[in-house]
Amino acid sequence: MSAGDGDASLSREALVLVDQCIDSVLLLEVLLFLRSESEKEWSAAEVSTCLSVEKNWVQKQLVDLQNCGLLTAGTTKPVRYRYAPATPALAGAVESLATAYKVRRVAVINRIMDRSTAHLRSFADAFRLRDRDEEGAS
Amino acid sequence: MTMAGVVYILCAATSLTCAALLLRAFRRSGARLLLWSGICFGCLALNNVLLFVDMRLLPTIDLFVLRNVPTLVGIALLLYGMIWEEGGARR
Repeated sequence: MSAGDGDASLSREALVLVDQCIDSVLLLEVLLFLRSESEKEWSAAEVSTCLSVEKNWVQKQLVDLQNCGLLTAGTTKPVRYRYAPATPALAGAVESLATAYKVRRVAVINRIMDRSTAHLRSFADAFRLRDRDEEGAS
Repeated sequence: MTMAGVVYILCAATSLTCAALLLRAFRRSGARLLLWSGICFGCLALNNVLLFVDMRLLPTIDLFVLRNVPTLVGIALLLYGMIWEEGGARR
């Protein structure tokens, strides 16, 4: 089974969201946690405690998610974040991804893992003299 | 031509081939790591050509510093690509 198997079961919006904003399963867990607690604003330290992950890593992920338009940041110190997708389309993509993560978890994880190795694969594929398609046809 | 000369030319040809393949892949996929890698191998090819010139064509002139400049530039560009481009690739 290749890493890409099961992609067809993910919506296009979910795939785009993963490709643009989600580079690890743990980051997805952070996003889904904030989504489930969207009434409250969270600091990196609080998220870190709840999910038992390192605070500095969480801080960077929260900034990345904010840059993706998935979170808003308050003006207080320490900065507190709230799940608030910038557009309805983005909110729909997260909903779709959350549903997929519940019912087709392996497909979602494979897609995320596939993305994280895409650079390495593109480097290795550079040394193929013929395209994969051409090799498959011959 | 001596065996050393043949090895220098083969090294240059190999590096040049790698550079061409990497830049071809960059043109297709747009992955910028391929661009920096291709430029690096291009610089290594130039280094090997200069090595051949230094050792075989102009043995009385020391080109040690000159022929290592492309290598330094190539490795520096590759490091730049691996550190800054990959780190900044996330949106």
